[in-house]
Amino acid sequence: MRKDKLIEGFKSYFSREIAIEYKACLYFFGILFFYCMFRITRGSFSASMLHMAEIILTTYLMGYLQVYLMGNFDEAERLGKKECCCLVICTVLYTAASLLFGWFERDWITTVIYAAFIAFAYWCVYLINKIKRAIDTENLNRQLTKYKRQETEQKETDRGGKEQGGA
Amino acid sequence: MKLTMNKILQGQEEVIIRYREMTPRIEAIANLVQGTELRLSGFWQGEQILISPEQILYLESVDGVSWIYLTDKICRVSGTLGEYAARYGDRGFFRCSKSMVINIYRIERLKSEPGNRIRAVMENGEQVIISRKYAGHLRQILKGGTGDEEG
Repeated sequence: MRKDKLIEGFKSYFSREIAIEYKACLYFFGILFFYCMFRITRGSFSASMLHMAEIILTTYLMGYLQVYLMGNFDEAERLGKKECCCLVICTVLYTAASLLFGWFERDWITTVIYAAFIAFAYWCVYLINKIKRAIDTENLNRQLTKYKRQETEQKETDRGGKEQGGA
Repeated sequence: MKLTMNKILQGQEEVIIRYREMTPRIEAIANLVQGTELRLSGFWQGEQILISPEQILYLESVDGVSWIYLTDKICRVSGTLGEYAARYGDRGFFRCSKSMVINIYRIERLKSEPGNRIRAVMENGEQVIISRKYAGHLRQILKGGTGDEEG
């Protein structure tokens, strides 16, 4: 019994860690894209490895924050007040990190565009998750209908066989 | 429905059902004749009644007591949820949480929820949340597998 609880606890912890890993990678690539575009506009075709390390560490930290403290708001069913507040807080934190580490040379216009980009990225992820669930719902209901139908047909076949045998 | 009964003095007793379309009523009669009707004994308003598994929407355990939810009534039963899930597993009974067993055939619709959970809306409108732990098992059953290894 205790062993089962331990296994269940580990599974739960492991799935949360995977969710964080997934989020960190997703947002890292989003920010990296923005960072690369910024570098290109500045006439540079190279990216700082230190900045990249800072970005990935920040996204990991934000992932933990989102999963453990903010109830995974980008996977929520709807964007309510609480989810919008979490979205704003995370956007502010990402923007603060960009200013702290100087990813965009502390340029205010770029920072404002970056903040809007982060908020947009969160909205896109929320939307993607919603669409994914809608497709999953459709599949589940299709499978449920098929399951019910198959069982009825099986009963009919069994009964038919018995009728034939009886005759 | 017309009922014809003939008394015979010798030979095997036989029940012939002539039907145009299979209905739940005819199905219930056939099951009764075949002796395959595994009915449950439950208590409703102090009286003992027999319940067909097909009638059951879901079972719930509250403070160690098992309850059966039908469309119009709630009955108390003596067995445990584990026993019922095992006994009627082939009739669509599915353990969806520690304290609940649902009848898949009485699910009206399913909805995918955040965190890989599933919301099942039963025929009486009751909504049951199936946690991630049990949702995988349900998906496997619906896909055609028994999902025994997880049960």
